[in-house]
Amino acid sequence: MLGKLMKYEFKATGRIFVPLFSALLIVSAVTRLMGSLRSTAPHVIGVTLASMLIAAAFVITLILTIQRFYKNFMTNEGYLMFTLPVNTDRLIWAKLIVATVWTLVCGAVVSLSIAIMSTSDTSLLHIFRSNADWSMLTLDEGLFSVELIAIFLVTLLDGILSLYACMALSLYFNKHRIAISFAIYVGMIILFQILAVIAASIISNANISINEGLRVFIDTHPNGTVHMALLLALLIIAAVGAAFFALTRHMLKNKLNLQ
Amino acid sequence: MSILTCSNLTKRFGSTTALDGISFSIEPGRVVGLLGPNGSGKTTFIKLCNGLLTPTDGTVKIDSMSPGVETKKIVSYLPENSYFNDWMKVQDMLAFFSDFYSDFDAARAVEMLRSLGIAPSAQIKSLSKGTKEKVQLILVMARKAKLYLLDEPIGGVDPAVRDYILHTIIKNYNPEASVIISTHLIADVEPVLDEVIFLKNGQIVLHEDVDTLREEKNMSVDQLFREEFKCLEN
Repeated sequence: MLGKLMKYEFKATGRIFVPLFSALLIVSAVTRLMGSLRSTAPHVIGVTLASMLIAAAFVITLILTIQRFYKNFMTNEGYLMFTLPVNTDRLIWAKLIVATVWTLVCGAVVSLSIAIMSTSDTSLLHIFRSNADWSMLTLDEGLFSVELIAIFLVTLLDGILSLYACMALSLYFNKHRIAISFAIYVGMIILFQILAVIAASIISNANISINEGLRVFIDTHPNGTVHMALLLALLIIAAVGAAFFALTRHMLKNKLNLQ
Repeated sequence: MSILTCSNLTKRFGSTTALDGISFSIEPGRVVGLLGPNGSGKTTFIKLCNGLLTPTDGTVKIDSMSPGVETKKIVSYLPENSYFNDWMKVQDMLAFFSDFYSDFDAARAVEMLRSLGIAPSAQIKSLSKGTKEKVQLILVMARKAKLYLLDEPIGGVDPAVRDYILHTIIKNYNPEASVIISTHLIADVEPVLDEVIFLKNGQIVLHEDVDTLREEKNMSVDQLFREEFKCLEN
């Protein structure tokens, strides 16, 4: 059932993303062509247009992530979605996976578009080309890459889930849900900032006594220590995401009240 | 065994009580009218059966199960509101229902669309409000469900279509299945009903077999309803 839900989610979003991303790539290619032909005015117009499309790509990705969840689950469309023989977890996962995929595609298309338009040697394509010999990576470097990519992905999921949780929390109210979701989001950001400041001040003021065994470990395994720190960070970020997910599920299961 | 049983089912929204401890059961193969004025709790009851609301107190069981994935497989629900994604075509919705409901009979849906003159290739956005309602009802009735929950199925359509829809409801459903129709257009649905439930301020004021009612009180359901819910004149 998850596959079927994702299929419809891709259909609903693809009809906007596919033309948008195609337009960006076509404009980038034409702009590059105009640049090579030393055709100044069309080149400038092309760069301006492509820049606008790049901005639009990011904004639309964010808006669609929000709108798909809100419209499909919290307005009349919810009557259809929540009476399907599918559990709430799958409904959320389908939205989450598809939103994540489009965000990654958006990043990739924008990078590609910039690479196409860049003519200088420092272009992105050049950077990729010059570092293409991945077999030179040591095991540690490979592991670091995997860990950093995992952290990046889980952080992206967190970001999307935090939007879902804020919208789901607005189910406590019967009116002005969009404005309330936004207020909850702003409040949440402020709360996280305060927590971060408090945590940082506690850590910097605490007399952390590292026992001898740990000190020896850190000195003899500097890479191992960084791996452990990265894994710890990954766990914390994943726990935050899991909390957002659980909150969203709880609200949709128990507090749903479609108008 | 009852297809639907609720006991002491209660739903409060803040200080407002929408359903006040109702208890009854429905047997398979019955067409039941859930009748009452606006705000009597009809829609709240139907939403509770579909798991779209959680009861404040009491229980509702469908085929002995609490509302969930398993009950959604056997309940076909027509909400009051249009739930379409506007960008879809009618045939996209047929594919959607085929994908998610194993009891959906696409051929029957196509047949019903044809008899109402609706093109499967039509964009839902371009349909009138009444036509959207018809499409939604066709999707719901083309399932071979055990329980149909129809919330105001004939509210927005003209009398000719109303007749077709009621005919569809009694003709197309499996005789083992039960249908609950919530409405205030009683005269229209009366001919198809086996039993009626009158709801008033979240409570059941009457739950009776239609034939028994006619014999005992010598009144049509419509007359009885007007009597029961008479508004006081100054």
